[in-house]
Amino acid sequence: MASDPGLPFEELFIGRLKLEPWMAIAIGSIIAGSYIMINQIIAPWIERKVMARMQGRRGPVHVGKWGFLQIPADLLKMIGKEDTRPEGADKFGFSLAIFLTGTTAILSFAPLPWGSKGLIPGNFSIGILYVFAVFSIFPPAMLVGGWASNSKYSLIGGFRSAGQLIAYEIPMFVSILGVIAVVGSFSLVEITNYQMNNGWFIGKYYGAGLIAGLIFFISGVAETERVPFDIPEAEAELVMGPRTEFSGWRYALLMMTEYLHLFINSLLFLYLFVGGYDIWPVRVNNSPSFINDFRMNPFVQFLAITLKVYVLVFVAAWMRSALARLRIDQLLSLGWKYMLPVSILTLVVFLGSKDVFGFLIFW
Amino acid sequence: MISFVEALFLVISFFIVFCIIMTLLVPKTMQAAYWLILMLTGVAVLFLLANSEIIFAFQISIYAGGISVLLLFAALLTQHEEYEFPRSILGFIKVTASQLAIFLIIGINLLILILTSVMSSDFRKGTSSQLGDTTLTVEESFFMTENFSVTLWRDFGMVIPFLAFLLLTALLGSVKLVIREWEIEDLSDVMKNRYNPTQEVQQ
Repeated sequence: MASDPGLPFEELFIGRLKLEPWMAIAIGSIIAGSYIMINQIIAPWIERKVMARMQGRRGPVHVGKWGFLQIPADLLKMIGKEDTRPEGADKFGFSLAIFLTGTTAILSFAPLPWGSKGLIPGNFSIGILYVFAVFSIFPPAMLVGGWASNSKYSLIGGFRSAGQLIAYEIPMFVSILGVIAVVGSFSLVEITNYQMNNGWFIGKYYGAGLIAGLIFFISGVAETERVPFDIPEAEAELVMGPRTEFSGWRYALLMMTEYLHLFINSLLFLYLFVGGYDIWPVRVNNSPSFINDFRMNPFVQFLAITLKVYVLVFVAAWMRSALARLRIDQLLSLGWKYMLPVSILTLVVFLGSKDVFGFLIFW
Repeated sequence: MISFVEALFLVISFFIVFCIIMTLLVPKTMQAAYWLILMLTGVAVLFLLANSEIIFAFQISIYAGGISVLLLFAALLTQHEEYEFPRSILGFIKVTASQLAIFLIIGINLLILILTSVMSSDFRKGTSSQLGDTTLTVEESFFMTENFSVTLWRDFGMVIPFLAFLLLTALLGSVKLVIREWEIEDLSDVMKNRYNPTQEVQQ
């Protein structure tokens, strides 16, 4: 629960309704979880529609209005399927991989705020560090899942997945070090508040903010294993990579995890570089007062973050239909040879602009 | 009356011990590796219960995330035979007498260390707070960690270098074992010269 006693959510549940703190945490988690689950159904539908339009097709049309209920229908179908396990598969490891990937994806949403006076399931002081820590369980889970499936496609896919995830975690983290150092906090609430007062990071520090943001976003796409970084899946070579042998509800859970990762990546990019739930990209002092009132409205903030996420979902769908897959050597050289050095450079610019050339900072 | 946090502490502690035992008992190296990952994750949750959030994050990202991937890669990329656990306890002692002795010496030392830390009032102060309570100051939340490290470096200073030396030996030994598994004939000319410099290979 949020540490600031002035937050309305905490005031309502703990101050007025006199609920126990754990109960307030549970209610907050249920609200945030429901929001994420509802978007789980909308985002794939939007992606399929956008991709279909770009490829000259119509996309899902039959189930519900404009095919809107296609994803729930798919989900029901997958849950109803027989639960099979390959012969010779490691029973516990096969289930453990699914369990770890699913839970870590959902747990990553805990420190994400949905408005400056609004909802936050768990306001950790280590916010962003927590998300990275929880996400780092994903590579070993994929490797265990690949090995436990007792299939060569799964095993090779698991290797590729773990290698790719490790290669891109480093530039991803280095690119946000500048932001953390400038704000002086790991908390996503404080990082967003800093941007509300001082302008969004994406337009600051002589373009270093933009480059760091791009590196973070591209690394995020690689971390979520989406096109053009879907080498672990590579359906022409590896069937479905580490996910090959998972069917029925297990496959549904893995697909859900993929979209949860897309959300996490988009949200982190928004909170760290594009002002999170803020709607005004410049300093408070320079903007008119009615805009200040407008941007502090919790409902506006909630709508703003949702809208921004869907812009990034659109970009992801666009990339998926427009780009071709990289080769594994191209992928690794891009990560280690280009993105890591450039992200270190942006870090230097961030720190230099803050401490040495502070008077030259834009806005 | 046992509090919610204390009950959770007990449950997770039993989970950790269970994972350690499973790590030792399972026949395949990969299975041992994933039980170890679960154990490391459990330890991280204990840190979270003690309000040491930073240590929780590093425990998860470095040990449960980073080191375990390394372990899994090492297990998958090296040759090893499945290890059959001896059925009788006598057989187990016979096979692993020397390792068991070292393990017991270190284990008893660490047990005393952990007990002295857990029994102290600072530790109770660190764990008795509400779950998810972030109103504690940094100083308060690090009481337990501080106490633990003081005990570690003052009272048990000699155990740490011993442990470090043991780990280094194990690391070097395993590297040596992996290198010995290569057949010299299978290597390229450059590598042959490196490992067998007395017999120059015709380029």
